[in-house]
Amino acid sequence: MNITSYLIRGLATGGQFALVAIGYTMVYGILKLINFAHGELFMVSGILMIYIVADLPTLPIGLAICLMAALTVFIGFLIEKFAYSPLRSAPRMSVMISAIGVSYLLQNLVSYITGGLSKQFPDIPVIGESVRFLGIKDKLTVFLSPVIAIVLTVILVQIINHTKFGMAMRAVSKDFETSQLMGIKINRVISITFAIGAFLAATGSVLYFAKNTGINHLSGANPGLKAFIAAVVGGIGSIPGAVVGALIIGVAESLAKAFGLADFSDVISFGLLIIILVVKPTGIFGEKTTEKV
Amino acid sequence: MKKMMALLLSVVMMMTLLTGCGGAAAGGSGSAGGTLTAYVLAEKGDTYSLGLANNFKTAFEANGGKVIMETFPTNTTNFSDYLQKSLDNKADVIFAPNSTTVAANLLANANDLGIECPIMAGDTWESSVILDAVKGTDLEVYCSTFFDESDSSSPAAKDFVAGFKDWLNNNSEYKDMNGGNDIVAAVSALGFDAYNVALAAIREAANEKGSDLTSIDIANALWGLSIDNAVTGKIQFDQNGDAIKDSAYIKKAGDGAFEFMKVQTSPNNAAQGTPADYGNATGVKLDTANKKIVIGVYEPTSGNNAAGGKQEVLGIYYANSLDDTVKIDGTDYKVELYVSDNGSLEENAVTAASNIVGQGALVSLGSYGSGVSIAAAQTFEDAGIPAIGVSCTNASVTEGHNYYFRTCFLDPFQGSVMAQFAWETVSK
Amino acid sequence: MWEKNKRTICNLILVGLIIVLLICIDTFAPATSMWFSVLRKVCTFALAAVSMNLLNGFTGLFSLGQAGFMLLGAYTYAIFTIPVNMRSNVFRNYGDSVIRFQMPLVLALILAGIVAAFFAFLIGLPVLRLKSDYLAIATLGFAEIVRGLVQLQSFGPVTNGPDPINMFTAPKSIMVYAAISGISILIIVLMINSTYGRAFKAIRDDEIAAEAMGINLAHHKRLSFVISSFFCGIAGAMMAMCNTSVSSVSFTTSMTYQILLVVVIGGIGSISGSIIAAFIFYASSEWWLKFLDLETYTKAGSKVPLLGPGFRMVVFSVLIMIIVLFFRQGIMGTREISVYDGIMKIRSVFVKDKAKGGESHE
Repeated sequence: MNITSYLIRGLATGGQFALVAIGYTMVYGILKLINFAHGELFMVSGILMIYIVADLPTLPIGLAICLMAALTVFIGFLIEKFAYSPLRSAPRMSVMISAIGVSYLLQNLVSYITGGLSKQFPDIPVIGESVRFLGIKDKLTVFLSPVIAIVLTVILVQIINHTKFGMAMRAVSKDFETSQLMGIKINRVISITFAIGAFLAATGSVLYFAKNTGINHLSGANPGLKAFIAAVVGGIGSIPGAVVGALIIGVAESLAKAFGLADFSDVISFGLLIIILVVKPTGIFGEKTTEKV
Repeated sequence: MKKMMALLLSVVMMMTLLTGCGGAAAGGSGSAGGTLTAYVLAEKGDTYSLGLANNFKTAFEANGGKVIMETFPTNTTNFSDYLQKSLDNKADVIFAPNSTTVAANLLANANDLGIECPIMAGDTWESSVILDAVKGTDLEVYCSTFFDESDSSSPAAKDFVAGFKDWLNNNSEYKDMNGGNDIVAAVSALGFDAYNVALAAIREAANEKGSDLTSIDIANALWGLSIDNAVTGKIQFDQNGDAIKDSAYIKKAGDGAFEFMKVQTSPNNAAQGTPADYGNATGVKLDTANKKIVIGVYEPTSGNNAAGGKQEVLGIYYANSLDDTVKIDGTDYKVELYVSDNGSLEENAVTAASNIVGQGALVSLGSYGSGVSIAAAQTFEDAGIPAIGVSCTNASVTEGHNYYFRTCFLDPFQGSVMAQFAWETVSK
Repeated sequence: MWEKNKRTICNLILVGLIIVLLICIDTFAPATSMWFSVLRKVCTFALAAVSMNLLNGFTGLFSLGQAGFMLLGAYTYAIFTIPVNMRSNVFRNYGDSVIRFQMPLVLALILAGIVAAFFAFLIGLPVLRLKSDYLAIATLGFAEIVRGLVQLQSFGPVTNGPDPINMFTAPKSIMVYAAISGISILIIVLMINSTYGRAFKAIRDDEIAAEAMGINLAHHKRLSFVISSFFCGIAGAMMAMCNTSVSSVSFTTSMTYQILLVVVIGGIGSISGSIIAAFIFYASSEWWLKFLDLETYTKAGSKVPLLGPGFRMVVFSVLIMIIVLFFRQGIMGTREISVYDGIMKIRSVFVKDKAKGGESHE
């Protein structure tokens, strides 16, 4: 058996999920909200790419990707403005329900537009090329995904640790109200957080759908759920945690299939989730918080 | 410190996963010289997919072959790891009877991995989705199906193909529904036949009962029906309510079209059935006030099976456009179609079927997909209206359901036909 | 005291009227009417929503495991009520069923609840220690695991593997559904109005204060979780009955979300709200709004824009978003329906000097 091939493909899936998981973890860090609509945003960005390429065939593919990323960021921004910001003072459960509502809406909207049919993602040059590496034949995106995910994460962590905006973000996630009193424009920080999350989801969707080319309105459900588990396993709120969690989930699922446990592959990730939650609810990299009375 | 502990824990878990299951995996590698190995991949919880996969497995093993069967959860989009498994086990053939939504990704992944062995599936894969996925690749993809558009031996089929293509080309909306081309899918032909079977039964019932006819009379008429000039061959129902079929067409996905490979036949000695005992069921009465007959079309026009469901609906629409009046007791009754979408989901089945019943339908046609058909069977039975399955191939659809008929062959037949074909293809 | 009795009597009259109405529909509506399938579904999901409300609305535990418990209930019910002579037929792919007897409906229903409650007890031991969102995620994960395991081929002789189960007892009369749902909801209401219910509400309002007052947190949380799951299991069994077939693929996370949306529309913390919302939700999504899915042509022959397959769900999800964003209290908020108060309110509009009579809401 060729274990390397499973490891590499597991890391690839992990890398793609990591980019989605960062979106979950950043939003949770700031708003303490599980953004259930994030997986659907991932799917919508794939669908957008299909329609952009189909409607503007003369547009170079690089520009099409930029346009798609811009639109995804805009949609992420709209979701925050319309569905979450009016509920800023509402109980946490209401916001979570609103997130579920948004994901329901996005799914149904895409199902209506596409007629419920699965659409083919366009061919992406370079990352869509077939290569042979370490004796494994696959698309370049498979080998690049974990690298790109880690590079983007490093850049993101640098931004958060070394810029003024990053400092504002850290302050908001530490203490929402105090940072507001300190003159931080909360709404701007939140909008930018959503924009970053949406941008990473768009990047992840190009890497992911370049390989798994059929997209329908349910294509976001599975990656969304897995990325979300990854974020929790890694420690929700922690960016490196999300990446590590995603890589663990990706590799664990691939190895499960390698060892003849394909029937259990989804049970394994959920099992991992419950074990982590019970043993260390804050995840691998999560910080311990004490509940204030 | 705690972080380290947690990391350690996850590493330990991974190790146990690796070592604990190593034993199970050791036995399954490498195809022994001489015997043929098939890798079978089915979708969890999909009645059609699992039923056909199991039938194929039984037949392939009966030939002396080895079968590795795995299942994947719903909404899976990446099949590389499963396909890698077939490479590791040096599979000679892959059998993956799944929905076209799954196929699009599966075939793209197979191409990435450079899979060389033939990939085979059942009737669902005769779709333009597969042609698009195979275009520009070296994949060798086969499927079994109910009908071949280039089969010129039957005049009924020839007329249908020519007429249907014309109709599609003159109607851009329907052409879009067909996947943007004028390829005649087998399910469209079956849909066409199912509609005509329903109309023939209504006419038969009208001959006997006049305007007093109910849906029960139509069900009774179905049992005695014998249509020789149907597009997909002679149609007669056996004791289970299944059309007596003895041949399947095997096709290969080529560049932009399916190439006909061969007709695989296996004798079917079933005799025509006798009417079931419908007790004192009252059924639905003919709508003499509005002078119309409603025929329900219970199909998935959304969800995983939407592509096939829409093609089936097209066949029914086309049949309706050719023949939409029935004369009963000297008055013309207009036949109206009521399309109810089951969304390819079993939990929608009862509602979608109830909508058809609520419209006062006398007969229902469909569905594409066995799971949804089984789930709706009881609703049609309660209302006392016969349902004519078009391309639901799982044996459980008609078994024990006196009101369910079907115009296609069954999975045990299809599975053994494909196993036979796979055997012949790879042992060359 | 008299005031309270008057309210109870008025509400009993309302319940009586609803029962009479249901009997009328059951006997006089034509067999093809949509009322039947819609009302069966409403009864089922009203119970599911009320049991979720007991947990989310009254105890403040945010659980998303409903689909898993309903699946357990539905499978238990279905497996035990298949007639003995049909078993080999249903379990065709796995030889035969390991269970070789048939249970009467009521026993099977109770067993469905007990199985769901038993699993809730097991999973509750570790999971209930978790705080709000984490509990939601863990229960959601549990539901997915249950679904994944039930589908395994190796459980075939018990669960029929991934194949659907059918041929089990499925009553047709809506009165059966109304009775099961009604009795279950009545028990939940009595529960909420007892000392346990007050303890649950105390935990919801402030966990730490409740503990300080001497309420055993772990015990009460587990109790609420187990009871809620018991009725979830019964709702699952009812779902099996109204679908006439059970398949594990139906019990997805989106079903849990649907139940949650019913609870939200009705008002988190209102039993009567959940029931009203279940009616509105299922009657409109499966019946009244169905026309949105059909391509319709005007008399002149032109196509009505937008209408087509899938449009119904778009309109429906937009409506839900509007409710979630702008009517956060839902239909009832945390109040309960009270005919007497309603009458007093209407009277107070006409009789100015008695205006105070209408302000007796909680």
